[in-house]
Amino acid sequence: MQHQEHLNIQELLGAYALDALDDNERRVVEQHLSECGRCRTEVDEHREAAAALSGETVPPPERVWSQILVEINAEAPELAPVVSLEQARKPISIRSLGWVASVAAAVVVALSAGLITQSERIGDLKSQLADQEQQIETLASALQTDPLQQAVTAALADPGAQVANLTAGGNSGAMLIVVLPDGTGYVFQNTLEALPEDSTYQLWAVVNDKVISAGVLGNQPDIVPFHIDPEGLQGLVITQEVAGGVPQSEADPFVAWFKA
Amino acid sequence: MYGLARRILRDESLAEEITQEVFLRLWNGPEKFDAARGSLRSFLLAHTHGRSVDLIRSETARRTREDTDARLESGSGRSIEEEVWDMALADYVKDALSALAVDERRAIELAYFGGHTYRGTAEILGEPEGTIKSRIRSGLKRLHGPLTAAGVGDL
Repeated sequence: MQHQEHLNIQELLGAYALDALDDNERRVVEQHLSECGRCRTEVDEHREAAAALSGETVPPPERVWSQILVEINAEAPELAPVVSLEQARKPISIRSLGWVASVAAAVVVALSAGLITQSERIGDLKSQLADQEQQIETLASALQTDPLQQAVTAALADPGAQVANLTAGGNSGAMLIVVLPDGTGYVFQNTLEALPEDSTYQLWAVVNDKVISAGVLGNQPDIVPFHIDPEGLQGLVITQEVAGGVPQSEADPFVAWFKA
Repeated sequence: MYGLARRILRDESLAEEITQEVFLRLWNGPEKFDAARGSLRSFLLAHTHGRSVDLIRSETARRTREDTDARLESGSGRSIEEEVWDMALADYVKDALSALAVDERRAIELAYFGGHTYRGTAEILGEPEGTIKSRIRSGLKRLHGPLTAAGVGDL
């Protein structure tokens, strides 16, 4: 009786391996397989043949992998499951060893590639965030400083701004000036030595070959705004004058900048 | 995996879902794979096949598939069997299948790629169920040698 059952079931094994049984027959076969090693081996061989039969090479679209990675990472960000896949190799037949090894390796490569990409993305995001935080901090500190400092910061950020470095051979100091396209300018960095209280630095703009006073800066200028005619600006000159400044200078240029 | 699911379901997005599902199932339960019982490849493909067949035996997917069938048949005048035969089958698979008796080949193709039960296959071919059952088994036995010796393709 048992032998007859075995023979009947054997006849179904091919169809079973191809998922071509109805539910009732499938249950009967599975029950038998749990008890019969010989039939299990036959099913394994049928499955191997069926797998080889589908030996076409159609890779899935890239999004399938990304989706798999998303799912995997959503569940467990560690690579641990790959380790358990390795552990799952248990008793290894020589026939399948190559496959398991190569597929496992491919899985590891695919997954770690995905993870690296992801950690790179996270790294990118982090540095973007850091950049943003820095910008916010810069902005915040600019807001805390005086309006002139803000104006200079904004002026320096203007793509149309000209920055003039006023220097002279004999002087160790310099004065940095930014001029916007609309003629608004700022002395914003000054390393010239402080003058006596009865003297002042005075700024002159060379416009269309004429020297025009652009402002009296004081004896120790920090940030000083001024306005000049932006058209035809050829250079900027600083002189030392008596406190209060002069309409026309007789003094030699102390530091100067000329447009290239 | 994807190729097999797509061939059975004739639907790319369902095939993508199945590929993901089968892969994730392995990921979550790697102990279900027993290397002593065969290659990882055949394990994954068997699961892919099983899930694909489950799906086409469900109502929605069957309708989609029948629509595609109708379109294919009316469009090209070619039978599904011919489509299956031509669809990117590796040469060595074709060779191995050619080595089968025509009857065996038909039965295996209808069951494996068509997703039919052996009873359905018998009905389509107008043969007794017992005959089809035997042909599938003898055909697979004949395939086992040459195909598994020829090597393996991509998942």
